Amino acid sequence: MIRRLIEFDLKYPRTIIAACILLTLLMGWSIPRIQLEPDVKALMPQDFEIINSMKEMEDTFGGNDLVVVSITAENIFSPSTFEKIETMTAEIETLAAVDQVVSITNVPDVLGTVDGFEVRELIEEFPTTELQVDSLKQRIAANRMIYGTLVSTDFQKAGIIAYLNVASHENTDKEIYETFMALRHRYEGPERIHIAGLPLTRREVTTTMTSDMKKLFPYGIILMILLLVFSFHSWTGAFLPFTVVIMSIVFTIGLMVMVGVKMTVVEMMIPVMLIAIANSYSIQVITQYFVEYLNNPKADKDNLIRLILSYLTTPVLLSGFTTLVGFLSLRSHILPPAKNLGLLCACGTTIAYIYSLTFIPAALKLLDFPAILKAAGSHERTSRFLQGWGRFFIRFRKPFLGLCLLAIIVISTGIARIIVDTNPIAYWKKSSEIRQSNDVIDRNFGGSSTLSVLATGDIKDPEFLHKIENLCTFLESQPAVTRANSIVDMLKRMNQAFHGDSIEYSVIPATTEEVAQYLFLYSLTGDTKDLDRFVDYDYTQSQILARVNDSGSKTSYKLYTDAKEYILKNLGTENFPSVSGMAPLIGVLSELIVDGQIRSLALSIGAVFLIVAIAFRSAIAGLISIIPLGAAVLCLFGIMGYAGITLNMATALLSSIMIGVGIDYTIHFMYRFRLEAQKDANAEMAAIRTLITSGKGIVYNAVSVILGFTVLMLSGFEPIFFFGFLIIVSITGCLFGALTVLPALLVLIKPSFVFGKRSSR
Amino acid sequence: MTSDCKDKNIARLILAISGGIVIYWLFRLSVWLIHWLINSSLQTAGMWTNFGGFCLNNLSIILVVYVIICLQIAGVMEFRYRRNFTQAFFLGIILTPVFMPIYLKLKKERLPQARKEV
Repeated sequence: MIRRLIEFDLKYPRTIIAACILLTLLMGWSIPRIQLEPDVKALMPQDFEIINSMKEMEDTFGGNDLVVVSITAENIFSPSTFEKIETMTAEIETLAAVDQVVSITNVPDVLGTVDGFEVRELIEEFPTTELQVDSLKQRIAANRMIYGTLVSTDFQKAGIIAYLNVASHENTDKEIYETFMALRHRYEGPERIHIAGLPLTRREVTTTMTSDMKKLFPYGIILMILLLVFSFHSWTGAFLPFTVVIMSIVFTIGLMVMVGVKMTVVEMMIPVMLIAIANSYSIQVITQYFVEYLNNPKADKDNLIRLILSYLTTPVLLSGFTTLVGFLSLRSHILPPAKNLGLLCACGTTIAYIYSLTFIPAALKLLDFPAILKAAGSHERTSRFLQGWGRFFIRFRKPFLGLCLLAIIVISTGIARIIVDTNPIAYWKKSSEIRQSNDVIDRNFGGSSTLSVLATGDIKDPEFLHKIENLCTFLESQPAVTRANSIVDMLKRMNQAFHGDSIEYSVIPATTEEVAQYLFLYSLTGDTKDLDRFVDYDYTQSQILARVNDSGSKTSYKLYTDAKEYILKNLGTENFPSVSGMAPLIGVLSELIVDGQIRSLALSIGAVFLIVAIAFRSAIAGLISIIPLGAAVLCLFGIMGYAGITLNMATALLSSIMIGVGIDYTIHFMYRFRLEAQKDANAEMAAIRTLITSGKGIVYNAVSVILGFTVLMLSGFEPIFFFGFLIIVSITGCLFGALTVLPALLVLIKPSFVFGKRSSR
Repeated sequence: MTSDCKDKNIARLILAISGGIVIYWLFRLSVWLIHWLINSSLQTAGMWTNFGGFCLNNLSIILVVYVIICLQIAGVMEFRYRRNFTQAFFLGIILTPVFMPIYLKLKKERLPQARKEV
């Protein structure tokens, strides 16, 4: 089949080139329709329990998408600050995307009257005297719905909470962001204003993604062109691999849009990954073409192409196949973006491989030979260096391997320190404005993350209300929870107000009738919207809403599992069927990441072992091939643990990609080593000859991959920055393993798949 | 019909379709550009200020287009005038491609066909 393809290449070169151009244009047709997905929920499988629960809760009680505005002043009880808060509240209320706005200036308070109670605004007139301020402070401190939620516990900060009523955030995030920023710009000074919330985080994700795409892809291309110019010193050598990469990127992104995959922070790395990886096949074809021409300048172009393709197909196919396996192992991941990235990168590398065997030979047939012909990797200095390098490590192979083992053991102890973090706020640096605003709100207003529990039953039944109260008490006993609010808080306040504000009546009403009466009274004088966030219209479903101020993945997951366990043991899942919210989502996401990491890692290592074992017809070969990779994986995670780099959506993809790319070096080395050893049974000489032949190619390939990935370090997202950094570290580790550990190991054990059984003995 | 002739004819047909797609995209791009120019002339900042802002915002894209243009011009230098590709490429980048005719005049000696350097 390959032979037929080569003949077709040589017979119809123009047709092939034109067809490749047309295919690229057709695939590129859909690219302008590309959609960005900044929502953290999109990272989860959409049929997942927690996502469904969140959707149900949002349908019944309105979305928990909220924006919190924090106003810090020397004295938040001064009339000027009050006026400012009131004006801002009124302005926010006018926004179409805002369902309800609550601040200290409009929050309702239940007050006892002769007839029972009535609902009035907490502040009807701004306090002017110290006495009035003190009285207001006391009322605030006594109200669980306000203290620590709308006013910080130290009375230094006041908050405005805007609940959003948004079915789709695609078009509203920008509007919300711009309005709130304009508001801040207008009202800041002397008060300090911080704004946080999911819509703003999503908007920031979109902005950073757009800025990253404008930066990473072009700089990656520039870097690749410079590398190709330095390697080949000819237009053919620089332009053809560049074209293949561009065509494969256009194909992949076009395909992504066609199948309806939206671009998340994870998929954003696809073009840069293809720049780093997809050019290696075309580089190998062009290098070999130039080398063969230099060896035989009088040879016919067609024969040269036939020759190079006939002996390049197998090793290039094998290395391409292992890279593909690395990417495809990500399909075993549970998270959709990881699955998408794996499949799309596999498609991208496959198409790059196909173009390298069709487009490149067709173009080579039509183009003249360059004015200066220089095959990549023909430098004498590199050869001398690799020779010395090889001699050193082979000579001291036993102490060197022992030292390596010790270093791996020491570094891998860092694995226990790895922290998993999936909180979207951790996408940015701690010093960034968005994180600082979020920290202020987390510290002073109970946190921007939430946990919601659905309660189903007769909400007016005091026994059932006691269960809800117990759950709230349990949730509030958790360190990460600052406040757990429910209908119970409102009913207790109503009961207290009804009984002349006597503190002993701050309890759940004794009978169902009393509860019904209070709710009726509330609906007469208050806004029923206040109740909508906690109960449905027929009082059969209720929401318990806990505010969480530590949105770390570990804490969030513990909170989620503890809440579920408490419900199971004490309340029963019949009445409390679901636990959801942003905090459980972050917690579960982290578990899925760890699970996906283990699955994809095991699958890629297993697949690589099988491929190499089959290719060399030896299980020992398979084992030897995974030693440098396994060591690099252990060191990688150890370094992550010691350096405090978190395992997140981006860094969780590292090991599979590293294995897919890094195995190429091992395969190339082992192939050549066997070839050299068959010529001469001296293992040391074979290893040195392998280093100065294949070793050079391995170094150039690794350098091009490393350079390709360096642009990721320009990203505005911390996970992508660290992904770039770690992939550089890990590819360097694989390169070091292939050029030091592998020759030392092969010379030490003299395996039978290289030297035959007799030599092995 | 020889295979070479067949190859040329099929390629022409495919390239014509590709050309149509490219023309369509150029048309869309020019419409967008006209809209942008009209909008920017309506704004108080003025067209040139907006143009400056646009260039700064898209500096990386402008840079990559510039590098690709330099690459193509260096390719022309190499194949048409048998000049050193690397030299032409970096001169193009540093001194802009406008310098290329001067480079051609300054450096009159041509490289031989496929000089070997291994």
